[in-house]
Amino acid sequence: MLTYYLKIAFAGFRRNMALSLLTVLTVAIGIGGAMSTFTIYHVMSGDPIPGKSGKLFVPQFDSIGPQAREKTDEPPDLLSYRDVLALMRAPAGEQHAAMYPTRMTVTPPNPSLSQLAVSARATQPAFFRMFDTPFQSGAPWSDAEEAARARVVVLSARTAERLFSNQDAVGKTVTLNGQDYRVAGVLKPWNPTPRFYDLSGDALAQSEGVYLPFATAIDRQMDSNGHTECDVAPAPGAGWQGMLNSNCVWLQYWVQLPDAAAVTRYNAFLSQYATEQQRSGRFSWLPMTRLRDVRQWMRYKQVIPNELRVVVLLGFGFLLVCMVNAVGLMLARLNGRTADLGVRRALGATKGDILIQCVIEAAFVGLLGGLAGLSLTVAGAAAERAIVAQSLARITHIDNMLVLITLTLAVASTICAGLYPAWRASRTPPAMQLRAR
Amino acid sequence: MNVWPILSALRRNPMGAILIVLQIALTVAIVCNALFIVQQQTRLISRPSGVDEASLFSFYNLWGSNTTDYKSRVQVDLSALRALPDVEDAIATTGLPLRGGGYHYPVAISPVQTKDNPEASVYLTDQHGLNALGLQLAAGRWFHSDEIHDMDSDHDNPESAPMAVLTDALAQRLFPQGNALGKAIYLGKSPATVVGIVKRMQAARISTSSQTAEYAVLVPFLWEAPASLYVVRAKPGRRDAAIQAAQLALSQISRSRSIANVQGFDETRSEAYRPYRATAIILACVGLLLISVTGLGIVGLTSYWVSQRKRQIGIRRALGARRIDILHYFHTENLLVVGCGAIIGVILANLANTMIVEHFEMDRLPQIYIVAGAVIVLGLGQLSVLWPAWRAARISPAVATQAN
Repeated sequence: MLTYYLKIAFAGFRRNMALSLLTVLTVAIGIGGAMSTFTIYHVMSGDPIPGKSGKLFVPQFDSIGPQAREKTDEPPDLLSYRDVLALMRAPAGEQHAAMYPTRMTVTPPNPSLSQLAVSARATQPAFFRMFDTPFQSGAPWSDAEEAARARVVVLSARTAERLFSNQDAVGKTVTLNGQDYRVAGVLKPWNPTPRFYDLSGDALAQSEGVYLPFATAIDRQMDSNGHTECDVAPAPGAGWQGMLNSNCVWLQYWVQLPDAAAVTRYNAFLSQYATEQQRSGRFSWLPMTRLRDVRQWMRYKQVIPNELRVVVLLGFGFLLVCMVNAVGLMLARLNGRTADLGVRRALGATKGDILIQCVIEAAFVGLLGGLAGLSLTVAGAAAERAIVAQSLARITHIDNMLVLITLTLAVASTICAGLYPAWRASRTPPAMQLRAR
Repeated sequence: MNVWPILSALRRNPMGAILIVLQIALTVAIVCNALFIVQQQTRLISRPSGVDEASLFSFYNLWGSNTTDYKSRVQVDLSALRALPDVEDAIATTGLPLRGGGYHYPVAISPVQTKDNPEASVYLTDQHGLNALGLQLAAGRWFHSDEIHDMDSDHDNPESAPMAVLTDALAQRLFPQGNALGKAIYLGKSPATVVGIVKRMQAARISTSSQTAEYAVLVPFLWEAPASLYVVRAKPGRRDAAIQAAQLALSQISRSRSIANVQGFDETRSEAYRPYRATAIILACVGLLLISVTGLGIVGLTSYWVSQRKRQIGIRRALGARRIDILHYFHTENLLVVGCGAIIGVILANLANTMIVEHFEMDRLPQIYIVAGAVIVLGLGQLSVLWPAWRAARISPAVATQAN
């Protein structure tokens, strides 16, 4: 039966080629316009760490007070060093990693090459376990090495390739900031999009080139090149120790909590800690804490800018207009075919049969429009890559999911647009058509 | 022209008209919101930064080995840069307009901080800053060389500045009476005397509000740290040569450094505004496509009407209607239908804008854009109906006598 309907649909398409093609074109333009704006949204709203995004949490704690806070009713995004030390003593069983971004200079093994700057992240070994970073070779440094402030590093695939070409870098030595570090592991290319673990700058920034132990970086007094916020800046001359003792926030901190019970426990621990700190006279404002998982964190940090949401909204408004247009075109198309619909009715087809036939024809047109729209989307996305920020251009691509969404959207919306014309067509009276001819 | 026959014809077959009304309404709603956003983004992108954009370039300088004497290193670098024939002047700092970085402080006029103090970018500069950035001094004076203090990552505290230069925008915000010179501002607990006012300098971060875009404070410090931003102003027209010469000169002084992200200011500007420009371009394209799709839709539907009403038109012609009457008929009909759509569109546009303002923290759409949108679609409607109406007018009265 379906093949018969498809045959009729195909015949109907050929019968009024110009109008049919125009309908397909309208659908294609609408789909292309809407999906071109949607591609960016699609990547940015993706889950950067599927399966674990509900288990990784950012604890927030207000150590800088209402004067220095960026938002009146939210604690700062980052933590101070002393609070990180305190949070690390949380009830056992949870994994946690403190971290901050810094920059290092690399002296290449080949002395004729000039020094290069790499972005680095000072963090703890749990970083690699919590975020499931894939290793090409080697492994993270051990907890013992972390505690001993060992000079070990994990390199990104790109940095390893730049420094050691195709050789295995594990066990080799790299000179960072003028000191020798042993390479403990090399990552496979790893770029979670958005870069959920550090959303303070460009959410689409690439992952760092070098990872080194947190304790080592603190010990070597490496500055953060991220944000720092203070209520009262450390006195001039207080130096590094002054910074560590201050309430200034500059560290990111992530914990992994396996289930809801653990989340409740951790929340209780967090607010208890905040209350204790206030009671001890460290600050006078009301204690304020938050605990957000990856998804909530991305929403809170507005990873998807409002402008983009508006653009997507207008893109889909555009699709709607094209579909209204398609309704008109399909009405005109079916109107030219009342004769053969009348003949079918006279030969015994029920109203339902005609309705189904017309809907299948609409689906057929929608599929063609979707395929054409897909190529327009590809072209649109390519054009967008030329004008959007580089970090965005790098990640904008058409994946299978997007192809599926495009085609489904095309067929579904064309069927919706085709419902009214199909209903009108199904009411074609049989006798009148026979009489007219 | 009597509109009643048109209305009764529309009533008999309303679906086509309803579709056009719907399409026009949506088009008005989308096009004027899109146009408005495009205009806002364009205005944002074209704001001047206040620095000498044509001659400026900047790059990060990172020292490799663990040296402590950053002060003399920075001074050697700066005097080498300033001595280059293609270079006008140079400074070492932490942030630059549109390039980001630097400090951000709420600025107060008393030691008691309140929540509504404006937040400003704080730039570090030595006595060369005015010339190196190409700023225009509007009042007061610039820093003298004996007023420049040292600052490094361990003494990282611009709050302690005893004096400051403000942008005109910030001075007006803090001292609306207009006598900022000699007054004290507070970045922290200690006062800084305002010694000068520059005409314009943008904050390091892009602000979408035009009011706060130029809130900046300059304080007299020489930045001496493992990582710094070198800002160099070339002699007019010599920028590209200066970029080459500067890198060469620095690598000759010391090889244990790396120079990263060398950017001419034009590149800094275009990188900073890229997302805004992209939004504007995408929306402008969507708007244009939308207008053409709607126009083509009207052409299509009207042609279809014409072919459906061929016989009636023939009869009218046979009964004495002139071609111009038929033309008038279709143009008036289009005006009525599109006008209806435009009115609904105006309501829709306001509704859509209310939603956008509420959910996306954007500005309210001025009614002039909605009027413009409505006028555009009315014109579009008349334009689109030209060809179908002309075809209708060409229908011969003889059609009336033909059987179907």
